[in-house]
Amino acid sequence: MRILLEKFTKKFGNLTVIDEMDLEVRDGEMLALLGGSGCGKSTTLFAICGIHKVNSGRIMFGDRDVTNITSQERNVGVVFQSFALYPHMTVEDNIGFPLKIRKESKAEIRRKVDEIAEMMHIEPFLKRRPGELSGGQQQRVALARALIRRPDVLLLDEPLANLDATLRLEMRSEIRRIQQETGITAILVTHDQVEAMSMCDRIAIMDAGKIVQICPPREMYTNPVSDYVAGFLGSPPIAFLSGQIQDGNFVEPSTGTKMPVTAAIATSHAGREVRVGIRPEYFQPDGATKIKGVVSFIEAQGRETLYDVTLPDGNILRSIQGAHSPVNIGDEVEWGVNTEHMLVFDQDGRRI
Amino acid sequence: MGNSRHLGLFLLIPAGIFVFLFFLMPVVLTGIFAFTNMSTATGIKGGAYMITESSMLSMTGEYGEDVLAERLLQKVYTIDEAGLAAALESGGDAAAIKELKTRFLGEVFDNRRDVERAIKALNARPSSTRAIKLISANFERSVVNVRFETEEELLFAISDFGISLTEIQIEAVQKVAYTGWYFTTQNFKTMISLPDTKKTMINTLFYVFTTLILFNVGFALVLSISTHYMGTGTAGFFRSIWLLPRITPPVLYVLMWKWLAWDSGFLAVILEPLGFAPRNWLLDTPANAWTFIILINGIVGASMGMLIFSSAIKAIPDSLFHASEVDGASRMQQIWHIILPQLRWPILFITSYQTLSLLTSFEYILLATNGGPGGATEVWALATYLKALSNYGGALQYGYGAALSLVLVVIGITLSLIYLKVFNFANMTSKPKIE
Amino acid sequence: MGGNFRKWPMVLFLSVLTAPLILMYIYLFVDTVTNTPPGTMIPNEFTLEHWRFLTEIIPGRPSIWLATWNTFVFASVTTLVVLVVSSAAGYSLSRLQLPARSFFLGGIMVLHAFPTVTLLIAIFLILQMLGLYNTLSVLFW
Ligand SMILES: Nc1ncnc2c1ncn2[C@@H]1O[C@H](COP(=O)(O)OP(=O)(O)OP(=O)(O)O)[C@@H](O)[C@H]1O
Ligand SMILES: [Mg+2]
Repeated sequence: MRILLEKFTKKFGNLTVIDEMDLEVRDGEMLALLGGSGCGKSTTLFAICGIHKVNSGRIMFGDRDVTNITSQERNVGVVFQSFALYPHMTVEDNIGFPLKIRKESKAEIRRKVDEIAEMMHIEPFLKRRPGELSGGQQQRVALARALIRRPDVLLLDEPLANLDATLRLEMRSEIRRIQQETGITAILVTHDQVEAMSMCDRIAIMDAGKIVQICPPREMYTNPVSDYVAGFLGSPPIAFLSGQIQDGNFVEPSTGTKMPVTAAIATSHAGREVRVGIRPEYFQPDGATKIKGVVSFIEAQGRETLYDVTLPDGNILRSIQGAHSPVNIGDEVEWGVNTEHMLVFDQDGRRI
Repeated sequence: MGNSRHLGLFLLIPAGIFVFLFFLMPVVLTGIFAFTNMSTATGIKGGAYMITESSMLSMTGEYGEDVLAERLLQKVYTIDEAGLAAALESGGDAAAIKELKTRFLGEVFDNRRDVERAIKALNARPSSTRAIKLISANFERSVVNVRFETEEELLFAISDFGISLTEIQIEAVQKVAYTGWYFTTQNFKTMISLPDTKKTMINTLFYVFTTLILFNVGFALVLSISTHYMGTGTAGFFRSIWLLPRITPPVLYVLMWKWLAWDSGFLAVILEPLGFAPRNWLLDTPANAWTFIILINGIVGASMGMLIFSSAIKAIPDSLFHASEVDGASRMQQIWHIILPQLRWPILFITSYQTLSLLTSFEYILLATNGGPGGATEVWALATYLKALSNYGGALQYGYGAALSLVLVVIGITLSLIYLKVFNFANMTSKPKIE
Repeated sequence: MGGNFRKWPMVLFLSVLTAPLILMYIYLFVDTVTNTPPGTMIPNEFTLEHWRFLTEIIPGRPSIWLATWNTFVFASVTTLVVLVVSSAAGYSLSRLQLPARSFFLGGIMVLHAFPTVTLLIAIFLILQMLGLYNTLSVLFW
């Protein structure tokens, strides 16, 4: 079911947390709400499920206006960051709770619980209480409880934040599998860009209560609208350099290196200060436009190795290389930037 | 470790002394008093000797000396120097007294009519009946209701009275005339035999459980749950209001209820136009008295539960409420499925703690109905207080009161031990983490 | 708190329950500053006469300020003693690993079961024996 937010505004007292947000989540899509801490992700989620009342604007589920409808009537499944399982009920009762509330028959509840437990691989734990489960098991119980009454919408608030690295990896694909199997429209709140990119059809990136960009992960990576978005996506993160556009080139001030830019930029921003973003995979020993610096940091990440190269003015360029280069910290290197993939931003951070 | 243990024990000493002084010693003393017949009549130090109606009853009952008993209770009229002097003193006719002395000194009459006949027969007989009575009153002699500090004084007075006693009789007189306290199990026998005891016990059970269920737990839950569904300010306002009765001095608090209930009070004024004759609603029928007693105690008692339950509800994570709402729970379903299960232990705790409080509390009942009307609202603790410390039917029965309160102590301790078992206290008081 | 539910039904519900109590307290206060003729509930005059014990000594009654002083002395001393004794005990029970700790804590529950009337009887009789009944020092006993 399609979810639509129109000019949605949320205030806490005098503090406007979300200001006139527009957002569309397409039917059957999984959308990531990505952003830094305190930017209003949970607030948005809580407004969609009806826990928070909106101050102004509209929320539509399909053709139904749910703005003034209580959460009880919205038919949304929510997985809370802390899972919020009922500690005094068994796993079975936890999962069956939404059905019990609707006074479905015991046999019916049993049947549905068994069915969803099988899908989640949690049959062995049905008689236990949440306190007797591991984080990953609790997480699956929470997901089962959210899904059992076939909600129109599934909302996940940082569901993986409490899990360890391996479990997180496992649950990522698990959640995605279930979402695709059920075809449910889902919103995943997260501040982890890897999670957002690997699990979702589209990403909406938020900054201070506003949606900055919304598009598929790959496109957002290659084509960010601002330096904020470019900086948020990618691990290791993108490196920024400041300088001027002169004669069709970006001139790096400390080394005087000239990096060619497109004709459009060259004319529109001639003589102006800009910032360029260079992703680590586009700064390589065999790159075209050479720039000199000193290796200041080396991190072996297993298959790949990350190098920080410090320029004379202290700015850092990052390079990630599949093959191990025979360099040590303190060595001077001259590696090249692949300027075709260089991202150029104006003084306000807007992409040009 | 060893050092801090010593320090800990040392710090416990003052508390130990207080517990000893204010809990253990009273209980031990009560245990002792319970097996005595102490009362205002016996005094609490030692005893004296006294011939009384009641001691003579036991004389007849226990020793079969009915003749002696009757004899000791008799009043006789002896014409003696002391009597004559007193008669003169009180303004009797001097000539008549003088003649009485010469003709009848040393004579003993069995009753007052005989004395007066003798006076009338005198030459210098007084003119009026009143004057005759004035003289005759001074010769009355009796050992009844006279307090003798020692046994010897009593025996001397008896022989002086003109009764000679056999060895056996002396022993009997000593026993029955002793007014001091002695050890006995009579209190408990009395308690079992009196029909009042059963009634008081039933009253107590009714009072404790009705108040507990309706107010200390029930109404406390209503207050804490309904304030949970309000803004913090509103909730705080209502909680403070319901806390007021607990901090209001009991005398004032009960007075407030009396104003409401008495025959020119609020209720009477309001109900009069509706055809109810003005009356003291607090005391007119046992049912009304109980209604007020339970309201008065319950409203004070509910505040503790309210505070405990409110903080327990506050401890429930918000996310559980959010989750249940998203899951579709209505307010009643949320209360039933989320709040109440989480309040299981607080409810159990309040139930046990307040049973004990109610069992031992009596001050509000004392102030409101004093057990009335006609003992209808007399509960065990109140009965204890009235018997032992309040001028109830004349004498304070310390011994009987102590026996009553001993029963309360035994019930209380038994209940609290059961509760501790239920709570599995050892588990609850897990070992401290910081040294 | 209150989540998704309307607050006013609860506020209304509790207001109805609370109103009588509030009224009783208001009436208690109003009654101290007014005179009300018998048979009606509406006071007819404002007066401070019921408060005059604060400024005058009413014949046949002890001065209010002496009573206040007694109350104050009594309350402060008991508070101080209780504070010192219970914090010492509380500290050692909560922080130190004492043997039979749970025994002490369980004892609190058991102590609660002792009727005050027991204490009253015992203390009353002891005071009678000592002849201390009705003197101030007794309060600190
Ligand atoms: N109940 C509330 N009352 C007042 N302010 C609130 C409340 N809830 C959230 N806020 C504020 O609103 C802003 C957004 O909060 P929100 O919880 O949506 O952040 P978030 O994006 O989910 O952050 P995080 O990643 O840390 O969970 C924060 O500045 C927060 O302080
Ligand atoms: Mg959040």
